[in-house]
Amino acid sequence: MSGTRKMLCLVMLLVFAAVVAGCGGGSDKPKYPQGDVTFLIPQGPGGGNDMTVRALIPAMKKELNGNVVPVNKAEARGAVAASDLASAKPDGQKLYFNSQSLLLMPYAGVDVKLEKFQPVAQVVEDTASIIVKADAPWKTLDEFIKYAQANKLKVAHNGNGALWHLSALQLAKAIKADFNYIAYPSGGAQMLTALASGEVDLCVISPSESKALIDSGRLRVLAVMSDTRHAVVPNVPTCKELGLDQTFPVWRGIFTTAGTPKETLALLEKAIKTATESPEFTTLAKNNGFPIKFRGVNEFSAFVKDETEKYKKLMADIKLK
Amino acid sequence: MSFEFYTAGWQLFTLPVLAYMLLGTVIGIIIGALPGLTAMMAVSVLVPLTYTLSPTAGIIMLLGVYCGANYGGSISATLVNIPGTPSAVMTTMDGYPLGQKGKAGLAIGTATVASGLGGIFSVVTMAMFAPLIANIALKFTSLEIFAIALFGVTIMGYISPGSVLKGLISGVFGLLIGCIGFDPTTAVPRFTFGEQNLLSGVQFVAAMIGLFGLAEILLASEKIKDLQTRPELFKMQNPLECLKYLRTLWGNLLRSSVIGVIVGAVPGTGGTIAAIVGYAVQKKVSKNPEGMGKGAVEGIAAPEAANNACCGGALTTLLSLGIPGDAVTAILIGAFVLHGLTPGPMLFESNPDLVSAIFIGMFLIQMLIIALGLNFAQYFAKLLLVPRPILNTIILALCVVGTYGVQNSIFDIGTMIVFAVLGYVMAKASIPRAPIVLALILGPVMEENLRRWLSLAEGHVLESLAGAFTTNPIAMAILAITALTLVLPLFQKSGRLNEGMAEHIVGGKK
Amino acid sequence: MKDFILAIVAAGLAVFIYVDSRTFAAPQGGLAKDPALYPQMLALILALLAVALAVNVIRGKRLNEKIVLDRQALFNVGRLVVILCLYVFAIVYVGFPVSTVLFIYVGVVALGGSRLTAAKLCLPVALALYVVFFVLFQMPMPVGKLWEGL
Repeated sequence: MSGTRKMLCLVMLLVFAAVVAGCGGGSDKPKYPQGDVTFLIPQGPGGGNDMTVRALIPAMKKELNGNVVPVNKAEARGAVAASDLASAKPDGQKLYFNSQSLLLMPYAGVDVKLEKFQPVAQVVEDTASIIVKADAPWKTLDEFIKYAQANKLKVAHNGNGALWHLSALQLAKAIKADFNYIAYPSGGAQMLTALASGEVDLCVISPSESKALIDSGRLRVLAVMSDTRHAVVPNVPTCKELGLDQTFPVWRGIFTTAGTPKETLALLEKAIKTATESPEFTTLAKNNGFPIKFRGVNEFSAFVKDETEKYKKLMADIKLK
Repeated sequence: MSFEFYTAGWQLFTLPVLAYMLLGTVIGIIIGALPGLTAMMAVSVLVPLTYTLSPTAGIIMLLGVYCGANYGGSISATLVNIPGTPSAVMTTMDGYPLGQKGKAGLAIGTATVASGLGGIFSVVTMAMFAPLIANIALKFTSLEIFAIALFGVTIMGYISPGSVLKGLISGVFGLLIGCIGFDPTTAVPRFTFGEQNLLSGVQFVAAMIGLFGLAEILLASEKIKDLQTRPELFKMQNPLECLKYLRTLWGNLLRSSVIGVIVGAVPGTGGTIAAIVGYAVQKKVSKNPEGMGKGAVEGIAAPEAANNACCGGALTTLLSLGIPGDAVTAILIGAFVLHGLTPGPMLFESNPDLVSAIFIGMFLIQMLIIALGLNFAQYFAKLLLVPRPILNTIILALCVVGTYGVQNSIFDIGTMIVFAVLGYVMAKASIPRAPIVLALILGPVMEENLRRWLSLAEGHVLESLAGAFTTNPIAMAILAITALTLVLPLFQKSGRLNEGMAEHIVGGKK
Repeated sequence: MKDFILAIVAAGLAVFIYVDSRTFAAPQGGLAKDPALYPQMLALILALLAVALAVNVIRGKRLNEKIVLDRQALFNVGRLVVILCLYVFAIVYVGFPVSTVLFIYVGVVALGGSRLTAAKLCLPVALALYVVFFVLFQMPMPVGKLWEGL
């Protein structure tokens, strides 16, 4: 009796396994994509990167004629997602989204094999800007610089060696000021709250992240650190216009595992390009105020290489271990 | 704000919107009740799905999920001692013991009514004083948040019945576990033993489910022959019984709701901390503090009112500042943006009818929670009539998959099992487990804000502290209250510390 | 005796934390920038509590209390932990569906249910979990390393 039952159980088990396996297995369709493409997001759901990826996906699905699944892996500040990609098979089935934070990981003590990353496409190019409280005494960048050189101002950043720490360090070096760096490891929202409450004196962060607080008149942008003005604050001059030759581009792009075939990369590049022009993505960019910038495989690879060199120098300069 | 403003949203409440609101609330309650599925996960999965709905329907549905899940966690906390969502962790303190006394109906009823009333209080304050609350929230800087966390930590020793000393040891151990991972100020990895998965610390939900849920099942599996259902224990009484207690609870509910609104509005805190602070305050003002932790109705009402009031508080900050008040509202921003809206004060001018609809919707959702909770409480409790081998196995599988789901990590399942074994050993050695969980939540918040305040002081610690009396009066007031509640019992003849010692010695003789 | 062991464990942990935190690379910048400050403070408190507990035990003359071990209970609990660990390994290697079906069967039987109920339950429960988590919640399902090559 119990033997029959065991057999029955085994059979049912096999059927179940077969059904589930059958859902994942593909028929003999084109070479790419083979089943679901996994899109790794090294942040929790709801953040800027997460929304960007989710807005790209609908058009990518259509273009690739396959499913693209977003997977949030925020553990260890994205280190787990990064090593996940680095150790994946080089078939383009796993994508990874990040800003230059990826290049900064090794400096923060995270073991990431950057040579295992193949840049695919850049989709966003934002910028840092100098943001102060609306009722701060400095009306212009000049007044601010003079004050900052004479006094030790408190600047918020999002963790030692992280993106907004470097932007602040770069500014400090450029204007020869000495800041007191205060860490807000939860990120942009936490930094901006502290600025709005007057706990710190400035943030060197993107105007897009601060849109709500700028629009409501709690915060004020003194200057943007890019070549052109920013859509969120079109009336604010660039640093260059004011005679301070400093830019701090903040880019976000898509990576896959190094060694992925050229044809697959070309397919992905085309799909992502279409996705950056899709209504979902352009609406999101407009509402959030971040500028879209597309760079293809070759251009983006060269750009990432330049950026890597730049940070190497910057890190050595500031002797941040 | 004019009267028209409050009623402007009514026209948006079409039948489909009401249907989505009901759907969202029901989904929320179920998700909240399932261990491992949190409000955050549910909202983030549903955000893209609401794209096809109208903005009002989408946002109201998500709010239903948010509030429903916050309440639903109390159901599993009461019935099986597993907080379905982290914010229900304090509800296990009294909800489970009360359920074990055969009064699961009373426990769930109290949790329902307290949740609903806390939520309604928060909606009303949000609608009437949103700008004011937002301004108060901005007054809570690092020192204030540190003070709140410290206040919560001081009840570590007294939170569970038994030895105070062992409670404190357990708590300090939890604080130490909270140190694992990147240091908040300098990003130096601490106590990670080279394990990459530990860099961002021990995953809190995994630890909590292990210590409470899984450990409980390990304890139950000791004597397999006794693993029978005891139907007489779970006979559902009328959940409306709680209304009899309501008379004694008004002060408690009001106090806890105010705490919930404020803690919720302060960015960087959330429902879990609100519940702990609500419970801690209740324990300190209670006429019968020894009864708390053994199945006291007041111990269920306080954290539940606080954690649901937190929803309104967090939403207030989102609507009036554009800053998320907690993790779930951070995801809600995505829902707003998806519909072409920027949450923030501009919303009051650009879409007043939507803001008004949100207020009305939140109010209706709280009413729904009370109605659904009281009507279906008896069916929830029926779950316990499922034979224990089956129920426990299903709970085990749920814990494993749910923990995996928090961040799609197998490592977290391992964490959960380790904490389950730890929880089992602690239960056998009669060391209270609750302080560890408390410390895991509050420890990192406390350290981060303390260290930040030290950075801000730039080495002039004493001067800054003296200056804080004028610059941070709220923080100093909270710190003073904390110090008083710590010191006063020492001077009383039957101080709680001494009593705890006595209890400790008696407990040891057993 | 239980409490005395706890005191020793706590004291040992305090010492370990104190020693280990001295190896942290401490950047310049005083108190606020020292990653070891907070854990060392905690270690100190833990050590004090451990001493207090030990004194308490000795004064209360509870040192000679025996620890009673129930072998059967320990065996049952240990078996459940092992089953859970195997389940996790199975998820990694053969994927969620197969291992969950097996786990429900083994779990129900190990906790004292009948084989018949276990066999009847394992498929529907696994299917329900699959639908809730991987279909409705769109979590990426662990398919298992074994099948990945196929």
